[in-house]
Amino acid sequence: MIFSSVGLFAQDEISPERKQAIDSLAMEKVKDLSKYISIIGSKETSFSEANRVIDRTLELFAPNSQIGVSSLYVKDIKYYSVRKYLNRLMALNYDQVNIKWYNIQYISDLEPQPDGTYVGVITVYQRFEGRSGDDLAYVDTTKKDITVYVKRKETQIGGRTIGFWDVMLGDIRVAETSK
Amino acid sequence: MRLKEALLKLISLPKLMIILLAMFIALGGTSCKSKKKIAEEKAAIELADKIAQAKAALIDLLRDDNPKTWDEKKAELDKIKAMQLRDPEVEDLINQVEAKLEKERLEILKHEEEAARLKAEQEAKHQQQAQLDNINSHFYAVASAPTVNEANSRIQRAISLYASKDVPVLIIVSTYGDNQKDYDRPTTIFKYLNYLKDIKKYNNEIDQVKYDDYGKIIEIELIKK
Repeated sequence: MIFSSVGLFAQDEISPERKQAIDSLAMEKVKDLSKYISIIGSKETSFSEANRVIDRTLELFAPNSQIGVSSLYVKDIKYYSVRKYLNRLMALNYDQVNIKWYNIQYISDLEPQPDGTYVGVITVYQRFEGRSGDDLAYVDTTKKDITVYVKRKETQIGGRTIGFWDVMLGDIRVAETSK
Repeated sequence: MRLKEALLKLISLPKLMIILLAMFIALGGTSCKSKKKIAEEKAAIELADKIAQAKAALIDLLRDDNPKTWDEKKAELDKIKAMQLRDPEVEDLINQVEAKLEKERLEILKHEEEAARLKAEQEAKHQQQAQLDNINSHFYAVASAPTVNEANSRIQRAISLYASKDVPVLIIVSTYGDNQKDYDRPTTIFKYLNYLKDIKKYNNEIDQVKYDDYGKIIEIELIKK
């Protein structure tokens, strides 16, 4: 499918109902990401399934987006490309990995930019548990801020033009890490 | 005496017989003529009676609130027509009843056609709903599969409804203005079914489905609940 951007500028006000639908759509994409990360990280997921889900996860992100990684034992936050982050997640050296996202909410509402793109920030809390055998080898809780871009685009389907909101996730920055 | 003899001479027995017979015929003829007249009068009365009854029946048939069925009215009209009463007023009423019955027949036909159309529409709607239920059941089945393997086999079964794995899936996120629609980024049925497998939730409704000549789905439009 070939998508093209549509010139929807800030002055093209949209109704509160449409805005609400866009807010929900962007929030849903973050929740989808949460599921994908959980599947990719899980040791119960087969290699082929994990790779398929990685491909789907990449479709959620804008090109060149990065994901921050923190640790209780390392001060610096490292940033990886999304693919690299997901590949590392899949290969984590634990017998069992549980990742759960919660308290997913907007900390900065989607606001229209001069080029018509809506930009907002959604914050999430991630609970990570890595087990070796029966032992809980590593556990932390991270607060992450995800930049969200929503742009109006058009494509041709069955000879007609479809207008859609393309939600793209941007960088995921680590705001804080705790035990 | 002479007169008597002369009279007897003049009127012989055979002549007398002829005279008597003539008198008898003359008297008898008068009686027949009177009976015919009576019969004619009786027939005329009967005819007038029939005409009156026919008129009453025809006027009754012209009533809008006549409770008889169309077939009963038609049978009654045919019965009156068969009487061939040759009365101008009756014939005029027959014409009126015929026109009325024809109008009613056309209305009945129209009603029957409308009822048949509605029935066909209803059946098509039921059939369409059954198809939608079937499509939806596949979505639910994939989303609720207990294992990845089970989800994958359910995906294979669901895919058989579609013309290809690349059939576009459009998801309406909102509608505005003159039935204009905002969509999510379009996807394909194979990706969408895998999405349901991953997310384990199906919370859309089917808005539209397009089929090819073989009854396979070539485009599906969903709407968020």
